[in-house]
Amino acid sequence: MNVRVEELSSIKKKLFVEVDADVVAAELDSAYKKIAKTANIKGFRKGKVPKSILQQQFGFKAQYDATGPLINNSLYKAMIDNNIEAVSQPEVVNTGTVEEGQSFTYEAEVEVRPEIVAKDYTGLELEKEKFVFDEGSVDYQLQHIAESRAQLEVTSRKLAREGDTVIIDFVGYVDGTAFENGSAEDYQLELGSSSFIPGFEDQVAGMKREQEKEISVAFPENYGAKDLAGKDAVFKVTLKEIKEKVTPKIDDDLAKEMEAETLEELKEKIKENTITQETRRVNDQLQENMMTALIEKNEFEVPEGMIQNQLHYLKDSFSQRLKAQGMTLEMLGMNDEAFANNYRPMAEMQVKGELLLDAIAKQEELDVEDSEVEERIKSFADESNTPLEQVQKYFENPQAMNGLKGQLLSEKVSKFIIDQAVVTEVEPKQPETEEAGEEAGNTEEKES
Amino acid sequence: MKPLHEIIRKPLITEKANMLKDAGQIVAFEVALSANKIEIKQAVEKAFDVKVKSVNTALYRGKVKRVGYNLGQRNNWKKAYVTLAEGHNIDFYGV
Repeated sequence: MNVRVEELSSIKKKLFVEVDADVVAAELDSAYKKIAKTANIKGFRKGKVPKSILQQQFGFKAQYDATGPLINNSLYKAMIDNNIEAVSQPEVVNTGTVEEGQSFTYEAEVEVRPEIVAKDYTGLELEKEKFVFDEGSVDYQLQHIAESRAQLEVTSRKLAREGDTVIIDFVGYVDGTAFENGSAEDYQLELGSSSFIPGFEDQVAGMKREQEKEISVAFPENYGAKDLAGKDAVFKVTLKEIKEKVTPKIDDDLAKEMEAETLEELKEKIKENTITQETRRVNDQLQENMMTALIEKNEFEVPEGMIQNQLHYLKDSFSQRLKAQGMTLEMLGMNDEAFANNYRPMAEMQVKGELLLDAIAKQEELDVEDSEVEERIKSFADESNTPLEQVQKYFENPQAMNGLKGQLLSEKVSKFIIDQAVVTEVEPKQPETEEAGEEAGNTEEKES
Repeated sequence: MKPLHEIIRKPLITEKANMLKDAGQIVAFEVALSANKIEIKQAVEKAFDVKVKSVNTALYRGKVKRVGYNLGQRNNWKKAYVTLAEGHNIDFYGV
């Protein structure tokens, strides 16, 4: 086998491969043997057709059949021999003819991981959001918790009003006859939730207990059931009970339900959570800024194959998340092409970042120690409340272990770069208040 | 003499014919029932521009076939094994 390598660019190499004549002959032979087994020629029993006849009849097929294995067997070896690590499927661009007694030549293009030298990664100027803790957010979250624990209680009010939940029996009539699925007993309906036909809930509001009332409404034109759409209907409704939402008071009792001793402790907990969440968010933001800055300073080409792989990965994880919610990409009106268009820049950034971090790790001789890995595994166990042994077992899988190591390494490199960067703290951006400010400014101008 | 294609119907390419060809310069044809060895020899020499050493012939009876109630018989036919002279050959595929 004869191989010549030509560098097309930093990410593309071209291989000129010549396969020896005897290998070609052997491959052709096995191709003929395969054909002979099934060839059906008049005058010959199956499998007894001589090679000379086969060559006449199936010469092209045999050549075609032999080409595949010839390339597959030699290309892989050619790449290993020349230390070429392909990041995507190699593309065979030019094939010669396969003929007995002659060598076979072909050309193939492969995409390789670019050898990059990262530069300017120290002293990056980065912006970090200044973290200010807002006491108000605790109260807001407390309110939220209380509301989510609200319970329905029978009210002493006589009339139902919007916001109440009522228990009703109803029977629906169209053109004087009751229609299918148009009646229910003890139905729980929240007034103002717009879960019924428009107009229905409004008319229930204002009813008394035990009152019977005929409500006439019109089904909307685009109603789900075709035979009802656009028709006028009359519902005989009996109101049975009126309930209202009672939000629990924010006090120690509520705190106890939330696994805290006192209200103060609950507040403290919420505060702690918010702070960790916010710090994480700020740090993530900083990390992202760092990557953007780094990529801006280092310009290089990325192999298409790596981008496609990353896109594929993104799509998989995205649809997995959707699947958990019982949805598919198609339901979002997205097909493969649209997804690729939308997420391509993101995939490219991620690949670039990964390559850069790798390059920097190599240049700075950063590596992950075993002790660091152990530490991380321990913290995983703590966070997820699983026994340490179980987590350790999971990471005995080499793939999982490599993933973890890669993650640790990129974290380490990121930290290294951020440590060396000039970080300036900026005020947090708050789009809402900014807008409000602008509006205020405008009105002032008008007044003056 | 009859036209050549009325004497030589078609070449026979079968396992046996192929074997004979490899072993010793023999080609097989299906020929007209009425053709004799001399006619076959002349026809082959003329059609393929070769020299013929000898001709052997064999008669084959058509098989009796039945379709439902009806009996029928396939045509009888004659096969000729033509031995070519040293150094002569016929390539039926003309490649």
